[in-house]
Amino acid sequence: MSELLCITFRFIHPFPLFHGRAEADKPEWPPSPLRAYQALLNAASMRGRGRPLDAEVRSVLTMMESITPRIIAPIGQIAKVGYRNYVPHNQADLVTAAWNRGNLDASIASHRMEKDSLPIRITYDEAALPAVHFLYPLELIADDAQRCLSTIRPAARAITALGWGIDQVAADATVLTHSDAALLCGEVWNPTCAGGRRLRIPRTGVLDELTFRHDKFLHRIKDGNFTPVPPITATRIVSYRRDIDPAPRPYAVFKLLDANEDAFRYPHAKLMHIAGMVRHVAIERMRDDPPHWIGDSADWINRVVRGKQDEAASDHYQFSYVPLPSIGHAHADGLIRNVMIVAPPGMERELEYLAERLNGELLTPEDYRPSDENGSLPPTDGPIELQRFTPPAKKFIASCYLGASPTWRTVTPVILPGHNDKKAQKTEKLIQKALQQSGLTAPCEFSWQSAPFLKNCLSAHKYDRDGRHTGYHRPAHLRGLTAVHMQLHFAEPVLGPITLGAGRHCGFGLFAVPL
Amino acid sequence: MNVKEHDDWLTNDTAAAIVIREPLLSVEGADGVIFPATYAAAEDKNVFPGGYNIDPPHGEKNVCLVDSVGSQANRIEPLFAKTDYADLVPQIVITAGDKSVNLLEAGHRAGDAIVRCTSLQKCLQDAFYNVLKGDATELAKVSPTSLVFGVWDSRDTQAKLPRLLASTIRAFDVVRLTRSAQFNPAADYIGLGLLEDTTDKKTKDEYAKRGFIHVPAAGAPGGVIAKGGIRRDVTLSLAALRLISAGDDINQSLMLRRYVLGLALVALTAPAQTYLRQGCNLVPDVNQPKCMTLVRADGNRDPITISHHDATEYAKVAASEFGVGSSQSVSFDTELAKKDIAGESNVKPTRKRPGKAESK
Repeated sequence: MSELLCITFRFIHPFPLFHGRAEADKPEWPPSPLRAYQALLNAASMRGRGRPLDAEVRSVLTMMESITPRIIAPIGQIAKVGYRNYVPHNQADLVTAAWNRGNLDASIASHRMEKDSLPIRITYDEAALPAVHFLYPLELIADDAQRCLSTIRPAARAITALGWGIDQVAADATVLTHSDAALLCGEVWNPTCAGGRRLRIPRTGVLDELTFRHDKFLHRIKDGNFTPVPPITATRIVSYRRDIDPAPRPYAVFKLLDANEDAFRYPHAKLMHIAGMVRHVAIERMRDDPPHWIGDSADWINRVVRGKQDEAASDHYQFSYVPLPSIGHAHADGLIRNVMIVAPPGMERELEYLAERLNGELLTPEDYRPSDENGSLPPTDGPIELQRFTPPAKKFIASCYLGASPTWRTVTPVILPGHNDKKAQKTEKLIQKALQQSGLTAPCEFSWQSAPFLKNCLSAHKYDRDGRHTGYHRPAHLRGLTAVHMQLHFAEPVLGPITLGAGRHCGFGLFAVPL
Repeated sequence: MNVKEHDDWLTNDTAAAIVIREPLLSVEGADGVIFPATYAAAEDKNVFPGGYNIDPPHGEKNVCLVDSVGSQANRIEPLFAKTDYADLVPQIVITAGDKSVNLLEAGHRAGDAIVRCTSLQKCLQDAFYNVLKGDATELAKVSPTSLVFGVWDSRDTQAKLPRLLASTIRAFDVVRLTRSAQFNPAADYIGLGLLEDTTDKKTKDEYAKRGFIHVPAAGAPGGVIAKGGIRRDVTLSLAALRLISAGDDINQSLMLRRYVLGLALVALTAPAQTYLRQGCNLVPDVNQPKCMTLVRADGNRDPITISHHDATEYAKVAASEFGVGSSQSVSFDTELAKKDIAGESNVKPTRKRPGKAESK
């Protein structure tokens, strides 16, 4: 069985805080793997101060350079308020010189500089010390687990602080099986391809570079001149995501083009038509050419591509066809020019297969009529060509629909999985149910309203005061359900796309990052 | 007193730290108003507008910083200048003009620039170079508290030693109070025609500054009431203590560590200074005795008891065995200062860039 080398940092202060800073001096949590590596290297070097690093320790640290560890950490929250200290500059020689000249008013108090603190408050209970664990696959470090442990453990146990010097820790190294690791308390942070928190991790060469930098630090003042210590470069940034955070869903985005290859525009209220047309073409293409690795393709097409579910099934494991209203600035018209197909997490391969085959396909409206030969009848709108593209960064699709934010607001209303009977309590329960069905299990606060958040988007009401139809055209099976516009607020930034509610597979309940 | 009593902590890496939790009370009683430390506003006032550090600023479940790590270290270290403990460490006094400063009061300890223009400079420079080579004996002979509270020779060799002892006082679930006041001038200067009446704000502000008109002051910090109690938390890192050595000499290293442990235990167990500032006089809560715990590297915690008397006795024996460095009084040396300025001293001037600040 494969094993893990676990480096554990336990915060020993009875009121545990962490003062470490990340990029741009922002509070860092969880502590980055680079920080843990530096603490380990520092302790190993301090144990043999004045001597070169032990060859075996060096070998283990070299192997650890290129590993991206898993992190298990207690909940950490940035303090709501910081504070500013004034600490003395080390310039008392100027003050004593002034005293010697007879200026007894000279004071070290006039040689101070500010030092701001904004710590992370670590959640803890009395039963155990709050601990951060870094888990490294042992097979990537050494063949002999016990030898590796006996090499690195003394260095780990010599670590005195993680973060600032006042963040004192008791550290240890252990070898764990995966089942042992599963029992460790805390939030599990795994590397992720997108979203999450950006943490610094070491990369190959960091050991030599840190040793070089330390030497430069010791000689930074030479002949009265200050030589800055070069910044550390043998690092990289890796995004880490908690296992309770919603997994980013794979997606493919398409432009809608008309016959002249200009952007095709479709009314906002009728977005379900675009969703329906894309779904129809997707079913056709997959019938013609199903993925070869799918066993029962007819069943797969029926369930995943078409979305016909067993009534008893609680999870709707299917593609969502999501028209994207144009938003992103005050004068955006909200018309549909793009469409996105969103797959459940883990279905990247199937989505890619489908998206490749839909690129260049034509959508044909139900009432489409081409112009006749003598031109007596004008053509109706269409056909519409799907053209796959990668949404450019900083444009509305990337920033509003696919960005990361703790706060999200609906563009199209969420159709609740039931009727609320005009009771707020029932609405709340239906929203909770919708969140659960969509896989948004991270704790969040929500609010709802009928009015849209964005200009050119429509109310969640089905009828106006005169009883006439208003708002969005809905598929027949969703017409009897309650719809609301919603705002979600998560404790951590969550990566889009987010769709919620009973209509989430056909363009309803689409959320965007507020601008 | 058996000086080998705690050798296991000094040689075996299973013991990581000693932690003390000590409930405190205001001298006025549990519901007395105390005045925590006030802090300047941060550059971004949204981050911190200044005043007491209460987190979160609103609501009942909060934590208030009463005395920070740096402030506590400043209060604890001068303990070794007191008669009962003065023999445990060398007393180094630096005289400049009519003023004299004990090195125990210097903000950066042995790394403080106050020694740069004294005869101690070369001695401490050599001591720090030895620290970089793994031998802290010489530093312990001159400034052993630098080994207890941490040191960074930021103006010269850059040698660093971690802090062993950290202490903080916090109050829990505090209710913030404000106070208002009104200054009344001795005479109605404007009413009596002694000063010209004005509607100009700038002139009115000048009158106010000089006490010629009534000046109200509203909403100033008025202390806090700690509903969840006040606690002093002290930690002594044994892992950091084991990083101190006397080169490759195992016996000498052990004696050095015993000496530093003795000093650290004295500082750890000494009765805390009760008077922190005006309005903040805190004493131990006799109904909730302090608890002391030995924290193991694997996270286990064992209750232990070390009285201040035992700690002092241990420190005396360990100090006697190690040999306390000799006390001395050194003067500011004008010739050294001239050489320093001219760049001819052992330590080159660094005034092109001021030494980086370090909290005590």
